[in-house]
Amino acid sequence: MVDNLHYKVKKYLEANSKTESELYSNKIELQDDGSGGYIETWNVDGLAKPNDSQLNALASNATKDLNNAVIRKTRKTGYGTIGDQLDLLYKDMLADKGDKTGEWFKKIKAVKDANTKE
Amino acid sequence: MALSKVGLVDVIAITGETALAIQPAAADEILVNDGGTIKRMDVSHIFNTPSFDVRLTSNQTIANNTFTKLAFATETVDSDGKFASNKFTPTIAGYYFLTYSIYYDVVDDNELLSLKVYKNGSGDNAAERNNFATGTNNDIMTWGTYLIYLDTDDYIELYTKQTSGGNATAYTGNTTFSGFRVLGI
Repeated sequence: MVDNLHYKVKKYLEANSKTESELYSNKIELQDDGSGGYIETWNVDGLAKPNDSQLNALASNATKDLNNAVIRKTRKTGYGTIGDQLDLLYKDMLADKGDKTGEWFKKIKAVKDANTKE
Repeated sequence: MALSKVGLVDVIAITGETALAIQPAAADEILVNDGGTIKRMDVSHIFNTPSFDVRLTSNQTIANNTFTKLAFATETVDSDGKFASNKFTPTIAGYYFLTYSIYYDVVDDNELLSLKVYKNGSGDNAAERNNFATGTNNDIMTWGTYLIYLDTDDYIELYTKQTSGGNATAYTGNTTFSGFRVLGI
């Protein structure tokens, strides 16, 4: 079973004046032995390890974060490489279209519109 | 003068016998000079076993930033039936040489993919192998080799982690775990 433990913990941290960066340090380690995720290690200064009830209360917002993370990834792929985008911008500048009429803006807008965040 | 006999064994008697043209069975025996005493020994004692090589049976979903046990249910090699329930429990004390690999296709921009061997349920940090993606949605692998000592009731498992931000897939064709006993050390 795969759950959304990372984002539940992220929401718990943010609700207690901490940041997601704690999740990428050695202070927190999440683990899944095949029966769902759980907190294996918790060494966050000044903040107690959350219980299942506290985490599940954050499930809705955590799911939103997860969905938006996936959308960001999809958008990034749609934007293309930085090099290709700069090339598009250069061509727009040459054509005096360095504004919303340019091809770069149209492409970015189309990707964002097709992949709206929650 | 070359030594042609050890006790009552004559090398001529060996060269005159039928050659065994295949790998000997585990219970086949050979003679050894053990400090001046001839002894018979099963060849299984010089096999690199127990050994195993396993794969995922189906693609496995890996949650973001969570060390997740890999579910290896397809055994391509399991020499002594020591791999079961996603874990290798050799039951023969000794050093074991492990290799492991995984591939992800959704990581990018310094996101991490990681493999770690767990011994008796705890991660062995020295056996953690990481790789970091650079471009967008890289096809990227991480792999490792590791020499580990296991006693008669130790067991090992393989865990993976990725930080793409969402779920990622561990693919059947690209996720491997294998190992064998190393002799002589």
